[in-house]
Amino acid sequence: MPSKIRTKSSLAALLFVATVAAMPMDMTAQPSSLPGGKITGRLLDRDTRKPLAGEVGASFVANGRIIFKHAQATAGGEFVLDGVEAEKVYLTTKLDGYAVEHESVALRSGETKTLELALVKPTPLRGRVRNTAGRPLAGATVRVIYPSDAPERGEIRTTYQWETGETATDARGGFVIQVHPEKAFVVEASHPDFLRAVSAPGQVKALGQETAVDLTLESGVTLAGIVKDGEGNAIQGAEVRLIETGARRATPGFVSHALLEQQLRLASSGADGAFRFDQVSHTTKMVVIIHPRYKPFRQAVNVNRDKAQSPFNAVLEPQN
Amino acid sequence: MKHSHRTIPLLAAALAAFAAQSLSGQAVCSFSISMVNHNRYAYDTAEECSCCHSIPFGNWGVSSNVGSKQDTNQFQGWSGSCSQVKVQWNSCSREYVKPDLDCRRLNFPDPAGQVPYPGNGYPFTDSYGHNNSVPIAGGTHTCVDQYSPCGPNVYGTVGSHVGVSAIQDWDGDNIMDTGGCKDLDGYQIGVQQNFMTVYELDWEGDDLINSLYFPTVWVTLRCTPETCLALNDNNFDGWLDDIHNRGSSEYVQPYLYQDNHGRISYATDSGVLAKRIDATIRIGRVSGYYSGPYPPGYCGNPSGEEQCINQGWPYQWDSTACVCRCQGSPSICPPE
Repeated sequence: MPSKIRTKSSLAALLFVATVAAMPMDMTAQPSSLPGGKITGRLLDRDTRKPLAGEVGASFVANGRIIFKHAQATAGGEFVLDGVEAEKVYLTTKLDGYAVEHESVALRSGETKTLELALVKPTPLRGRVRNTAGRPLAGATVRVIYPSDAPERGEIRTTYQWETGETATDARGGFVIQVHPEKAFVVEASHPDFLRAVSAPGQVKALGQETAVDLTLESGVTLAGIVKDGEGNAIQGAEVRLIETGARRATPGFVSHALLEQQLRLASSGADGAFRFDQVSHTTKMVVIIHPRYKPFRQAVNVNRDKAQSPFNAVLEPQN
Repeated sequence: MKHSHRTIPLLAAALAAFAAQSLSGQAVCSFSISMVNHNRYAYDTAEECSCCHSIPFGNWGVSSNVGSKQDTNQFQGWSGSCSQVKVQWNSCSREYVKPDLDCRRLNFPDPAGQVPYPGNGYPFTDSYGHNNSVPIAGGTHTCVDQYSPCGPNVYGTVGSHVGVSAIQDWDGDNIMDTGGCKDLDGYQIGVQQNFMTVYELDWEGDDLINSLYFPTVWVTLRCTPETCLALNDNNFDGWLDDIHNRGSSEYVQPYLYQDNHGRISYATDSGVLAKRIDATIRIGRVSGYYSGPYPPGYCGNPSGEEQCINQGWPYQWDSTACVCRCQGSPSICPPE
C-alpha cells in the first residue's frame, strides 16, 4: 500500500461511533397541497441545540433527469425545499465550521416532510504527500472521501466540494483538512505528474486527533499509439479506452472518482490517428478501440514499470 | 497509550469491512460534475480601501450552491499570468481616477478593443456613470472597469453516485453491452438555484463583494455501460467542447444581484443598482464511471480468479478490484 495511517485508539471506540453515526433522525410527515413533494427542516448545533443559518443541497433522480437543488436556512435554522419531484431525495448540509451531514428522505407526491439536521464541529486532519524517493510533493490535490450507503437503482448519493475539503499540499507536502470526527474516511491524493493514490480507511474519533495520513505517489508511464486501417491510413475520431484489468487499487466501501478515472482512461484519436495516455499505472491493461465504421479492436497490454512502452499500433478492420 | 503495529491493519480491515457492508454489490455510476464561470467583469469594488491596505489587488473566492470559497482559482482576475494561482483583481477600484490612462489599475474596455463587452447590455445596465461614454472599441480613455482574460474557472464540483443495474457482457467479448452507466444514457443533469457569492479573500476576514443568482443550467448525458460523458464532449476528456467559447449560449447571465449591503436588483430593473460585478456560468465538466460489480471473467487474470474460487470461503474474487479478498473477520484474515 502506498499510504500509511498513524493511529492511537481502539476498535471498540470505532464501532461505538459508527453506531451513533448510523442513528436515524426524527421525521414527521403531513399532506402538502403543492405539486411534487416538499421538505421543510431545521439545522441546529447537536451539542447546544442552537439553530444554524446554514445551507442544504438536495439531489434526486426523476423523469430522466438528475437534479441538484439548494436551499438557504433562515437565521432560525429553517429551510424549505419545494417542488421535489422524486420519491427519494438525498440531503447534504453546508455550513462553514461544521461537518457535513446527510439524510435520505422518502417522499410521496404532494407530501410535506419535516426533519431536523444536527451538525457537529469538524476535526482537523493533518498529513503529508511524498514521492517514492521520500521528497515532499507540493501542489498535490488532496480530498477526503466518506463511505455512503449504497443507492438503490434510480437513487442518488451526493458529495459536494465543501465536504471533501479539497485542498492543495504546501511546499513541504503538508495538508490540513477538516473532517467529520465520527465518520470513516479515506484520503485521496492526485498530482498531474503522478499516479493517484488513496489511503487506508481511518476515523479521527477512533484514531485520535494526532492522526496523520501520509501518502506516497508513484510515477506512471506514457502509453501512446496510432490507429490505422488495413491500408495504413490514419483513422481519426476513434474512441480509445485503456481499461485496467489487472489488480486495481480499490478500497471496499469507498468510491474514489479519481481512481475510477485512472482505471478506465478515454482518448480520441487525432487527425494523424495518434492517441496518448500519460501517467498510466503499472498493471495489466486492455486497449479497446471503437469506431462506428470499423470492428471493435481489443488487445491486452502489460505495462511494465521498468521498461519504456513501445508505441501501440492498432489496425482496424472495416465493418461487414 | 501504546499499541502494537498489529493494531493498524486490524483497524483498517475493520473499517473497510464496516464500509463494505454499506456498499455491498449495488451497481453504481459515479459522477463528477464541475460548474464553471466565465465572462468575469467588475465595475465597482470598494474592498480593502482603508489605510492599512496599500495594495488594492487581491484574490477572490466563491461560495455557491456547489462549493465553498477557497483561496485558489475560483474567480480569476487579471493582475498576473493566467497560468499562476491566485490571479488578482483590483479590490478597490472606486478609489482610482477613471479612465486609468496607463491601464495598470483598471483594464476594461481594453485599448485594443479586442475584449467583447459583457453580453447583457453594458455599459447601460449598471448604475455607474463612469462607463457610460466608453468607446465602442479601443482607443485611449478606455480603462474604467475590469475584466478577466483567464477563461473558464471551476468554482465548485459535485460528486454523485447513482444506483444503476449491473453491467452485462452478452456476447462474451469482454466489451460490456448493457446496464451500468448506460441506464442513464440521454438523462439530463440539471443544477438549480444557482448562485455565486463572491468574496475578496483576506486574512483579517473575507469581504463580500456581490451575490449573483442564475437560472437552471442543463447538460445531456451520453453513456456507455462503463462511462458517461456530456453529449457535447467529442474528445472524451470530460470537458464540454465549447467551454472556452465565451459567447456559447450554454453560458447563462445572472437574473438577480445582491450587493454587500443586502440591496437586491433584478437584471431587468432600471439601473440594476445592486450590480457590482458580472459573470456567466454553466456546467463545464462531466464524467461518470461505473464502479462495479463486474461480471465473472472481466479481469484479465483468469488463473487468479479460478485459484481464488478454488480456495473457497472466506476467500472471494472481487471482480471490481480484480483481486482475491478474504471476507472473514480480522482474526482469520491476514491484513491486506
